[in-house]
Amino acid sequence: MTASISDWPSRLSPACSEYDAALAELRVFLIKGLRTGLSGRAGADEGFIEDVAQMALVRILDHLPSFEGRSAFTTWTLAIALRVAFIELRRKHWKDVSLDELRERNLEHQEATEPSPDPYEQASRNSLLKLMHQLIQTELTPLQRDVLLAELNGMPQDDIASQLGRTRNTIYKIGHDARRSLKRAFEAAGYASSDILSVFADQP
Amino acid sequence: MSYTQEQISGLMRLIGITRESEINCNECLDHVAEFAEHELAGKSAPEALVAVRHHLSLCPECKEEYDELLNVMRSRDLSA
Repeated sequence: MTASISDWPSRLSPACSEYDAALAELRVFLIKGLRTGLSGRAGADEGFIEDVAQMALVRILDHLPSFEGRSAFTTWTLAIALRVAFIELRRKHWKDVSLDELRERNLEHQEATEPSPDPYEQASRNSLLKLMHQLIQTELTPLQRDVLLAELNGMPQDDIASQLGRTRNTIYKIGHDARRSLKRAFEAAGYASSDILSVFADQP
Repeated sequence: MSYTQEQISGLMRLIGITRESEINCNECLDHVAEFAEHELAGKSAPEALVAVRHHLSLCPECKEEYDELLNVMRSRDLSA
């Protein structure tokens, strides 16, 4: 297989006589890579890996014209296969969790503020936390708050996107816009990024 | 709606490293293979790939996929 790896992009052209063989070889390569990459992951059994390899092949062929050769073809295909695999694994894990449920969980779950041994640091932290709670309410749209809450609960962007009828890229943009709005609001209140990071550097 | 201390702390960290311009997950995927090869070769990422590093520090999903990509690439078994 090794001798033909560098030829894969051209052999994967439907017009090429070696198309079927190249496709079969790439499938074997992806399965091998996925076995390594997903080793020990719950739900990543052999059937799952074969399904993912098949889905990844479709996506690779769709995106083949955009392959520019900036990396090895094999690395590029593995990155795509792992993206497909993790989307499916996360979907399985989060399939029964709704955004409404996350909202309810967060209303119920309140943690006490972790005290700092340094009173000055504690005061700075409390001040920033208070401002953050306030800015979340005043600077963000309800949609931005929903996305932020879901992300902070660990819900994958693909699953947030699915529940909100959006794409992963749109969810990333909504989250980015929210973070940017909060950052600007903090700056307007006199807090630079370095202030925020220094106060929360040792936090979980 | 309220947030836990841990969530707010996590959000503070993200806000601290937020940039005006960021690449999204698909743009990260477009470049992550090249970025991973630089990383494995011990080379510093060229300017064009700095945005990938930044995205990986913000996006736990892309980071998880990237970490496993490195893991697979390091595997000797795969090159056999």
